[in-house]
Parts: sequence; structure tokens; C-alpha cells
Amino acid sequence: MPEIAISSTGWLAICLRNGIAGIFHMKDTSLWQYLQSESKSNDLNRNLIKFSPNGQVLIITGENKQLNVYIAKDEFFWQLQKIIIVEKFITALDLTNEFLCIVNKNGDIYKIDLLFNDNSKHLILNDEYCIIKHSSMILDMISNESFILIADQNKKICLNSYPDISQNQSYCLGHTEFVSHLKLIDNYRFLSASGDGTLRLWSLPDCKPLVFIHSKIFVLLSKEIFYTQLFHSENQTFIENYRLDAKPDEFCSDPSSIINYSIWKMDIASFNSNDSNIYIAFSIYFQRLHSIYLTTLLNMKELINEQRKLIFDSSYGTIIDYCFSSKAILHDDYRTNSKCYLYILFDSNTLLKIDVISILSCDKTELFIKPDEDVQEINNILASKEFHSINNNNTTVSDDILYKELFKNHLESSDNCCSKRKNDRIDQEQRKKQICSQMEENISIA
Amino acid sequence: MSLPQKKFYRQRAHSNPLSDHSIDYPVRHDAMDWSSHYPLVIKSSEQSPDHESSVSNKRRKVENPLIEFVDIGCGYGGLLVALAPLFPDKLMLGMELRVKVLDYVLDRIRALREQYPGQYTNISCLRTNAMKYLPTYFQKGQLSKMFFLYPDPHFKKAKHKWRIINKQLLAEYAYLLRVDGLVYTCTDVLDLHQWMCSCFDEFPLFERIDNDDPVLKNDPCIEHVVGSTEEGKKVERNKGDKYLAVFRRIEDPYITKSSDS
Repeated sequence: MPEIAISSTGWLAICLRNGIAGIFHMKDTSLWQYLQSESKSNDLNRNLIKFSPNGQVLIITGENKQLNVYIAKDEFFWQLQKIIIVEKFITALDLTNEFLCIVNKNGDIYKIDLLFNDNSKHLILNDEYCIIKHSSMILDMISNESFILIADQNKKICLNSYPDISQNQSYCLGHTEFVSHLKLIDNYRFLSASGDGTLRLWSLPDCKPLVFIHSKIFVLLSKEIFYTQLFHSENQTFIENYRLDAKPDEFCSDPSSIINYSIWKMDIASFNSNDSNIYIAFSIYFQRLHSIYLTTLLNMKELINEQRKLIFDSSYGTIIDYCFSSKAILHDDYRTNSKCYLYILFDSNTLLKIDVISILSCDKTELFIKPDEDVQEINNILASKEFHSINNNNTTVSDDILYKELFKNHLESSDNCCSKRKNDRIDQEQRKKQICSQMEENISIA
Repeated sequence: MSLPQKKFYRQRAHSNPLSDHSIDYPVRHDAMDWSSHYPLVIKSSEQSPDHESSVSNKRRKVENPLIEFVDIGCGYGGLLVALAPLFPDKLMLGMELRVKVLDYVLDRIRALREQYPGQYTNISCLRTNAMKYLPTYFQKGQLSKMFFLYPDPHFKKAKHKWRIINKQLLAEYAYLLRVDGLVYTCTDVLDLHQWMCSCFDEFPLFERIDNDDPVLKNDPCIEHVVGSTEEGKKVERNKGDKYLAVFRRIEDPYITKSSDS
């Protein structure tokens, strides 16, 4: 539910744990705006804030099955343009500059035109907007002018060509658990992350698997870099204690179970089609609260030791969400200083900005970063009473209860009703076989 | 082993296709080992299947034949058993969601293989949800015939999404069927027949073959499609109507148009 998204025009939208959403301009922090006070989470707590590629439209899920559409007016001000009312919870959404695609819990995909002709405030989503009905729950989706890519719970990634939906369907098969993230690299490749702990690169449109790598490799090989807000150059033991405190590993019951190495969140930054400039940040389930792994696409293909693990000490709190700044901003920076930044949101409502390129070439083990001025201003606003006074909602939902449900076929939990039914069925079959063989014996005796 | 008796395998006719039945399905079609289903026809690979190594895969494909006929919702297996001697070199698979019915079919096949050694080795059945997992079993264009016989009509409007023929699934079937492959549908419910025909007609990759067409007159499957299954026999006993519709998978008109111009 808490999320962060950055637009190509330099706006940063944050949705906090208590439901408040706000938007900040990254260069001029006096331009901030409070957007809404209630954002209800869906089952997966993801994909709830998105900007359109040109940065003019922002979508945030609101309370009670509503989607709020904000339009940027005059470069300074965001206005609530439309409220879209849906019947079932939304599990994924994606938008281009012209239309928005929403997937609901049943797997139905709806397409809505973003160039609203009428002036009405509300739009009720009904069947005439539905373009595809899928039969299983869809966890992530990429939609684009020429195709729609769907990642579902049944390990399949389905590619549908967009304007002519029924035809030209192909499948990217290969994951061994549900596919949770899809990120497009360019028009010919995309990256997928799944509950089985692998990141896979696929080519479009022939859906061939190109590379895959398991997160365990990163756990074993990454150089750890420890971030702390306090820095004592003399007192080494102090740092060591801090480091131990900061790394509680959140194993899920059984440490060898699949869920622990599954990819909890992934993001990708690509501003150049050169593989060494495509940066990937991801976190693994059992280290999701304090660690982020950084690597490049080139490193995925040929391990050249460009992987780093960032650990944040507990003074920051736990990691909520992170994202790269978007393409266009990187372009500007690339021409001048080649920089790529990762913005991380913590549950203490602080934001941190990390320079990815310098991390990947860094060999130190502890880092202290002077907080960036712009980011510090945003943090001040986030901490201020002004921001929080409007909403006193303090409920927090545990993110991972519903995540575990997605593993239902493989996780051995005692209250897993599917495995119970399976065991019942197996018992029944054995009993029936016994009866059959007894009847045969009776017949042969008589 | 004697043929199984249906009275030990009774099950409710309807099963919810959209619920999770904890079914095991392969990750990809080449990860599936069919040798347990077709023991004399398919040799199991000695090395463990490794789909990263494409050389061993190609070798396996050349040696082992692929499944070409699929009966979706095969029920008590009447069609498979009737077609097996007609096409002894083609592999056929039945898919069924209901457990006990599936057990009946497997026991029946086993009994037939024992009673007629060397025959009935090309049919088998497995438990799966064809609506959700079908593309994981086969590769693109692998199938040459698909059978949808007497599918569950799901009369109520709210249950229409459970029907086995709808726009989204037709795209999957078109992906799995090779060009000029045939889809056979048969039902005794007029409403369902009209629904299925309209779905296929609207879908650009299928064209209807008329029931009087000579292609169908010479097709040995037709009489079995209509009469060999348990449902078919029941409809005959009750003197109901049977509506047959056969469709051919055609070349993508989008592609042929652009290649012409």
C-alpha cells in the first residue's frame, strides 16, 4: 500500500502507510501538494501509483475500490480529474499517454480512454470497457500501443497483441512459481521476477527466454555495503554492533522454503540500450526489510562482480518501497554527469536518495551519506504536522500474509485447504481401490 | 484385469473450472515426461530433462512423437477408446477435471491394454484444468484435432464465463492448433450450439465447415464424435437432437494480407 513513483517530468508521488498521498517536485520542493487522505490497499499491495510516460497523468487508488485520476495543470498543480469506480479489487494497472488498462481480481482487463470527453467526475467501469477476460488472477501487466503482457498466478506470461486482441497470442513459459513483476526494457526485451526467486530476461515478440538467474547467487556473491546515519570513524566495534542489529532476517517459518528467496520487489532503470547501463534493484523476501540488491543487466548475463547488497541500519526503519527516477530525467543527467538515482522510502517516513553508479563501483563496506538537500526538504515536509494533521488513521496491514497465499500449492502450511482436499482425495482413492479389490476377490471366490 | 464398472466411479457432473484444484502441471511442454502415459510409444529420456540444453531437446523431439488429438472434457473416455484403433500412429490425450471419472478412464485404458496387447497404447488421460493450464502442455501448432463433446452448458448468465468456448480461450486453442487443424464440437443444447457457433464465427482464425461438406463425409471421426461418448449414447436413448459443428483453423488473414501487399 505505501508506494513511491517518479514521473518523467520530475514529480515524486508518495503514498504513506497511513493512507496519505502527496506529490513533490524534485527540483523545487516548495511545490508540494497533498493529494488524498485514504488509499485502500488491494490484496497484493502493489501497483497502486503510476504516472503516464509523459508525466501528465497520475493514477492513485483511492478508498473503497476507486481509482483517482490526477492531471497536471500548468506544471505546478495537480487536479483530481476523474474518479473511476470498479466492482472488484484491482490487482494491476498500466497506462500509456492515451489509455489506461486495469485488471481486476477475476482477471478481466478493462481499457479506459484517458482523453476524457465529458465533464462528469465519476466513471463507473462496466463490461463495455472489458477487452480480455483471463481465467486466473493477474499479478502484473504491461500495456503499450502494440501489445499487452500479462503475468499471472499460474506461472504463465501471456503476450497479446493489442489492437487485434484475439489473434497473435504467445506464451513465455519457464517460471516455476507465480510471476509477480514485469518490467519492459525496450521494445524487444523484458524482465520478469517471480516467486521462485528467479529473474528472467525474455525477448519479444517471439517470447524466447534469454537469461535467467536465481537470487541465491546474489545472496552469496554480493558485496555488502552498510548504510548508516551515524558515523564514527574511530569506533569500529560500534559499527559492528550496529550492523548486527540491523540485519534481522525475516525468515518465513522454515528457512529452506521457497518463499524466502522469492523476489519481493523489483525495479529497473534503463536509459540506454547498452546492457551495462540497465540497472536492476530488487529485494528478496527474507531480507526485504533492510536490504536491497543492486546489479546491472550485463552482470546478469556474465557475472562480472557488479552486484552489491545495500543494508540499511535500523535507525532508518524498514524499507517500504523504492524506485528509480524515470527515463527522461536520467537522460538529462546522463548527458551531463551520468548519474542514476534510487529513491527509497522507509516506514519512518523518510526518503533516501542513492547514487547507483558510485555504489556499483564502490569497495568500501560502510557508507555515510550526507543527506541530499532536496530529499531532506521532502523529509521535513513528510515529518511535519501539517502533512499528517488531516488524517489520524494509523492502521497498518501486514504485507506478507496475502503474499504467502500465492504460494498455496507449494507452501506446507497446516491450514492450507488445498493440500487438505488433496490428501482427502488420495485417502478416498486408496479406500476405493481396497473396496474394488475386495469385490474382485468376492467374485472370484463365489 | 477386467473392465472397470461405472458404479464405483460416480461423481457429480459439474465441477467449478475456475477454482484451484491443486493440480500439478508442467512449467513448459518440454518439461513434461509423457512416457508414463504412453509406455511403449515414448521412451523416457535417460538424462534428466534439462531445458537449458537445446541439443538434447531436439534429439528427444525427433525420436518421440507428439500428441496430436486432444479431447477436452473426455468424460468416461468413450471417444478415445473408439478412435484409438482408427489412428494407431497418432497420440491422443484426454483431459478431465473430475477425479473419479479420470480414474475410471485410466483403469479402462489399463484393462484394454492388458486384454488387447499392443493396442490402445496411443491413448491416455490426465487430470488438469484445460481452461487455465492448456498452453503449458503443448507447443504452438502441435495439435491437429481438438474435440469438445457435449460440454457443460452452464445455462445461467453468471456462469457463462465457465463455458469452455469463449473468446479468450479460442485464442489459446488457435495458438495450439496447427493451420488446417480441426475443432469438433457437438452438443444437444441448442442455445449452447448457437453460442459456440457465434464465438467461432466472430473469431477470425476459424472458419466453419458445413455438415454436408465432403471433407466431413469422409472423415472417420464424425460418427464417433456424435455417438461414441456416454453423453452421446444418453442423448440417443432420450431421443434428443444433436448439433454438430466443425471448424477449421485457418491462416492468419492479417499476415497473409500484409504479405500480399
